[in-house]
Amino acid sequence: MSDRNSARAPRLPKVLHRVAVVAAMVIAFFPVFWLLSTSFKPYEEWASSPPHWLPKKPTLQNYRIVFAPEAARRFAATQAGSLDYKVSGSAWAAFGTSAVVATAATLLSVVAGTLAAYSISRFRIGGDSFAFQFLSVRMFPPIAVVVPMVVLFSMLRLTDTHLGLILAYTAFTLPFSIWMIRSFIEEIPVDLEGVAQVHGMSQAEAFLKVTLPLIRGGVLATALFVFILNWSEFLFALTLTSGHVVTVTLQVANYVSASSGKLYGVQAAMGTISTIPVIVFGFLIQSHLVRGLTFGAVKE
Amino acid sequence: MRDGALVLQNLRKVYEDRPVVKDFTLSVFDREFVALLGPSGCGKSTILAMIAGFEKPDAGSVSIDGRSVDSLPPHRRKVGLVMQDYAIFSRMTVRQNLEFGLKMQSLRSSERRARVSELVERLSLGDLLKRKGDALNLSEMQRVALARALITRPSLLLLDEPMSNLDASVRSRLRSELKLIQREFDQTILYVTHDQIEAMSMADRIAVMRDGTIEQIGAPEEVYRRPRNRYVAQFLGEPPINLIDCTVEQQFGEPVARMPSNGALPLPRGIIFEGAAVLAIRPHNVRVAHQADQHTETARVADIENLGAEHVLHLDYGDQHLAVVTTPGYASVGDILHLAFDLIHAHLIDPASGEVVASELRGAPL
Amino acid sequence: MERRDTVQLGTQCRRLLRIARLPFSIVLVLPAQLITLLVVVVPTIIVVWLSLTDWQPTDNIPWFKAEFSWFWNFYDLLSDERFVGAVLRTLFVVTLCVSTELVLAVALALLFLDEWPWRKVAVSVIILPMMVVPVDAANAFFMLFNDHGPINQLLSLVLDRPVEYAWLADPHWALLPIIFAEVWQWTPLMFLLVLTAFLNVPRNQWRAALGLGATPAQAFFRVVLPLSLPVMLVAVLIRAIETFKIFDVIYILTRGGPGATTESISMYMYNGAFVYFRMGYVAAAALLVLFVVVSVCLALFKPLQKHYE
Repeated sequence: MSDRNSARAPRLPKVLHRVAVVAAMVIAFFPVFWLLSTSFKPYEEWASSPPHWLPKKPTLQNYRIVFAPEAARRFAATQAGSLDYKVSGSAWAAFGTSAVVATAATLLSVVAGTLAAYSISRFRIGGDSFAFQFLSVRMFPPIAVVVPMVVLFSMLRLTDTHLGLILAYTAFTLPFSIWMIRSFIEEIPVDLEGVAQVHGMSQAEAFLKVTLPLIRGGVLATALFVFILNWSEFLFALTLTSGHVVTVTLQVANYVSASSGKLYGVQAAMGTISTIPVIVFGFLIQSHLVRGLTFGAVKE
Repeated sequence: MRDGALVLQNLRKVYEDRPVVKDFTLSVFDREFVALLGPSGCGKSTILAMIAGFEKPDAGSVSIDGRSVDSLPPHRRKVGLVMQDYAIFSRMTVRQNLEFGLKMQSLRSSERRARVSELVERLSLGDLLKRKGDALNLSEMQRVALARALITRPSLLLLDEPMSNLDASVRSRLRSELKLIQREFDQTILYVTHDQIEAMSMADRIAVMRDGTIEQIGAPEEVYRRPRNRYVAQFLGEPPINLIDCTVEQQFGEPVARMPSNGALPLPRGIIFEGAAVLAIRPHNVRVAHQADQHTETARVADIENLGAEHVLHLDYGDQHLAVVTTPGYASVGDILHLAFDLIHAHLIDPASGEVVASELRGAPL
Repeated sequence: MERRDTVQLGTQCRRLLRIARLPFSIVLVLPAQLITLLVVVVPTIIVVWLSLTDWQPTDNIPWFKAEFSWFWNFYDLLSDERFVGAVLRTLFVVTLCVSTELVLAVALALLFLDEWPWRKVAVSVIILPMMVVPVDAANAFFMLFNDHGPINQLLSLVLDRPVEYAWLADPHWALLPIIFAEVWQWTPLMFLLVLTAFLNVPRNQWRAALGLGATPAQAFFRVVLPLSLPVMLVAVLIRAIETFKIFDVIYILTRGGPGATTESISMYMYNGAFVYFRMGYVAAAALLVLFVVVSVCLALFKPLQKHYE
């Protein structure tokens, strides 16, 4: 067999190679599998010993609990009486909140980011310090900003509001948006806009009608990427809210906190549904993920 | 007959149902310079890949120095490689590049230094030793690539179109350089190219390739003067050989070629071929004159190509094209010229098979 | 939009711009800058202020009226065992995680250099971990490392005796599940980067090395790896930065406990601010960390810039 696709390293014998790959796949999938499996386990099987890898009596009970408060109450009353079950609210609400916050923050981030990226790319605003600026924002541990933000937000009455979270998320994904979209803009030659302007368009029109359509795909990928970041966000959701605004990640954490982590089935159910959108979007933008996660340093 | 340094037997390689190399057999003898000449896509690079061990032949075998290397991985065949893009190790210095192969052979550093000096001298690499691979220009890279391959004293040196990236002016000097180096180092070389000038000027033997097989193999003189078929005849020679459609008639046992202007060219007696034929004659072997005593073939000048020391006249001959070489200024566009063919240098080709059926067509010029 | 409308809009905008006397370029970055200002710059100012006080929200006075304790916070921090512990622990975790991820990534990348029928499927599965919400991944590992979880079950099989270890309750070993979770989640990213680097190595340099007598292993270490080093370095840097901020995983798995034995810097600051309510103190800690982070960033900026350009 020829090595057309070519090796750049020593090769393993075929069987060993396939086994190694399968082993890696199993390790990659196993925790997700466990989450999925546990979400269908009835109460008795949650912490059984030895653990059941697949539920012997699969049930949708956990999902019902997560979505409907009455099911939750019934459950607390009958089976989990020993567990102090204090989590209110349903997954619908959490989903809705996450959707609203993530979408709004994404839109804001991408729009503001595109404008800024355009300015940085075509007008060289900020010059070369841009890269440094960008990097240092990423290096900030968010927690360092959370404390004063809590203070600031309470002054501005933004705590526990959707708007507050949206603003926070936008600010922290802006560097990604700007960086990614900038790299897409740079791939479009300035001359195209020049030609458009010669034909009578203003610079804004040239950007909107010529460049933007060309980078549509990249902007979309950036949006999905930012959405994933927003959806998965936890720290701000935890600290900038106090019970009224609950995202899916926070809801998962609530189940864990309320029961010292013992509500396995319910946690797993909530976990599964909270992570599905992200997995779907992630696969859609696989190739752009690398560009985003490395701040554009590596283009696949 | 000497032992072949390289013997390729019935090599075959198929990519996705398309045979790229078909039943390829070739021997390169010790210290010989063989050129593998052919257009892009005819399989020449694939053959090199099979010799080096990067591709496995679907059939056939490769032997180097009398031993089969079919089961040997690339790093155990003692084959030197110079690739088309030179593949210099970009992050290493030139010296490190040169010493790489020697390190792999576990030579001591004193020995390595000695060999490097030897090649530095020969290929004028002195200034380059400390430079990084990615800081070299194309012709510097080519010299380094050559040195890097030669320094390991391989049984066989494979070169894949090493000059196609270089300027024309550099190439002619390099051609003589390479030939000299080959003699000095007693190196066996298999040189792949599509440039017939390179093949003609450097090779001991040329193998002309088409679509995965060898059409003809022989010394440059031989493939040039005695091509076996239309393809080989056309491939070699600049300007390309003229191919004139004519008809061979047998008139009372005397064969003649009926030419485009309706003249009859007498052909040697032995020719029994009859019917539509192609007369192949090189532009240098057709003489022209403004006047002629007897009735001769004529053609009109349609275009003149100025090559400096000579002119190539493109003539309308009947409804065909004829190229002729003359001294500058001999004729102008529109002139009618009389033609005289040096039939001793002409060939007769069977249009159906493309094979040359007769050469050295002695006969009195018209 | 019709051309006429667009032109009108454009003219109006231009009029506005002329009034505000702002060049178009500045206008474009305004939205982004404003948001950043609100959410990043102003809080930073507040942090600086707070760090000079020992304000606690439970004091019931507004933060700007808190008494100044000047640089005492910083002094206390440097001798605070818990803070220093958090810093060292975080550095330890970063080093361990990133190096493990790198080694595993290289090993994995080596497996994916060639083509085979189900390669695409394999890649999709391998990168699944990095697409899982970190909180959910942590949750999954929480269950895996349970006393009666599959990890203990497998260990029982291997060691041939019942194992019901309470990993997350052990001050010495609680970091293990955390590190496992982090490595599991982010090795795929390193893998993608390293694989890209390997595949970008010019094939002919590899072949040249083999032709010169290098075994595949030698060619890999002497040619492929050095050429991949720049990208691998970027990958390591990026992962180090991100791992430094580790929070979600620790919150879900241990909250920093037992005691403070799994507290990272982020966890420390969270606990300090939202459990012990010492916001002034935490602000000072934040500044210290920020200072270190920015210096490192500056120090590394030059080589990074070279790579980006």
